[in-house]
Amino acid sequence: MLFFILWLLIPTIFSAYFSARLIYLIMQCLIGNRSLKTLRHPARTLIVIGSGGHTAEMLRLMNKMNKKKFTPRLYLLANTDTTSQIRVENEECGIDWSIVKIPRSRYVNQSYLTSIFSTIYSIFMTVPVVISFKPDLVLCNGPGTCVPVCFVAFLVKLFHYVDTSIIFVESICRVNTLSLTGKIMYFFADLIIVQWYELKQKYGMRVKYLDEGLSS
Amino acid sequence: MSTKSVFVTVGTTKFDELITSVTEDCVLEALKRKGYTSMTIQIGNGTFIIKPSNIVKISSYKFKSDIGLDMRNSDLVISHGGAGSIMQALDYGKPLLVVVNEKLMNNHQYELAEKLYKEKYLYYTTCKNLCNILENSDFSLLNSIKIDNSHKICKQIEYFFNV
Repeated sequence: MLFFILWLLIPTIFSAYFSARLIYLIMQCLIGNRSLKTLRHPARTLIVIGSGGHTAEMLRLMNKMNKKKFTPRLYLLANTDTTSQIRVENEECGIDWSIVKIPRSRYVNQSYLTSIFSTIYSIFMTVPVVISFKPDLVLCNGPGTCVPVCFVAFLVKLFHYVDTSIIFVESICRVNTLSLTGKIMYFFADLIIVQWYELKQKYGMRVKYLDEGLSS
Repeated sequence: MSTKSVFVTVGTTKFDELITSVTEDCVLEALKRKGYTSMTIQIGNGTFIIKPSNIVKISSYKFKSDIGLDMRNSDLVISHGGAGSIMQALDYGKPLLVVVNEKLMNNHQYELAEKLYKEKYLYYTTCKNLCNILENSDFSLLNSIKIDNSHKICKQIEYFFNV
C-alpha cells in the first residue's frame, strides 16, 4: 500500500516541481528582474555560429571579448558549414577553444515534414555536447540553428544540472522588429541585446540596447 | 584620365535581376558619365552570362573566399541588401548603393538599408530604379561611418556576469 502511494506521489511531486520551475524561469526571463551573476571563475562559453552574415557578426563580437574572462570557448556549428569553420579557425586567436559540429536541423529546400525529424535529431545530438561542456554562457545571434541549442541549454537549467545563462544578440539588420528566432528567444533568453533604439522602444524592458544601463 | 572602378556584389545569394540591371546600357552609360571605367561583378549562385560591353570594362567571378580586396580597390560599391556586405562596405568607407531584392519573402532587408539611408550613410534602390538613382545621386554627400557595436555588447555581457 505504502509502495503504491509512493509510486503515485513521487512522479506527481516531480512533475509539479518542474512545471512550477518552468513557469518560474520563463517569468523570470520575461519580467527581467534576474539578479546579476557573480562568477568566481571564467565563464565557460558556448558560441552558436549561424551562417553568412551571422557568422561575421559573431566573430566580430568574439574579437572584442576578453578571452581571459570567457574561457574555454566551444564553437558549435552546422556540419555542412565549412565556410564558417574556416572563418572561425582564422579569427580565433586565443587558446583553449574548440569546434563541435552538429547535424543541421533543416537543409535548404528540405520539406517541412522531414525537417521535423531532422530537427529532433539535431536536438538529440546537441544534448551530449551541452551536458559534457556545462556552459555558463550560451551566446547566440540567430539564425534558427541556435533555437535547438538554447532549448537544450534551457532544459539543463530546468533540471538544475548547470546554471546556464542564455544571451541572444539580435542581428544589426533588424531595425524595427525582432527576427523569428528573437521572438522565440524572447521567452528563453536571460538577456537579449538589440542594436537599434527602435527595438528598445518597441520591446521595452525585455531587451537591452547596446550598453544601456552601464555607468561608463 | 581617371580609372575609377565599381564593385558589384550579390553575396552568397542568387540575385540575377541585379546583375541584369547593372549591366544594362543605361546604367553603364550613367557610370561612364561619372567617370567609372571598369566594373567587377561577384555573381554568386546566379546563372547569368555576362555580355562584354564597350562602354565599361566588365569582369566577373562567382565566389571568392575574401571579397575584401576587391571592395577596397573599388571606388563605388553596388551591393545586395545583406547586412554582411553592407557592413563590410561601410567599414572600408566606400560609397555604397544598396539594391534591395523585392522578390524576397517578407523582406526585412529594407529595414537596415532604409535606416542607414535616413542617416545618409548609403543610398538604396530597387532594380527598376537603378539607372535613375545612379544619374541623380551625389555619392560625395554620403557620410562615412564604421558601425561596430561589439565593444558595447561585450560590456553588456561582462556586466551581466559581473566579471
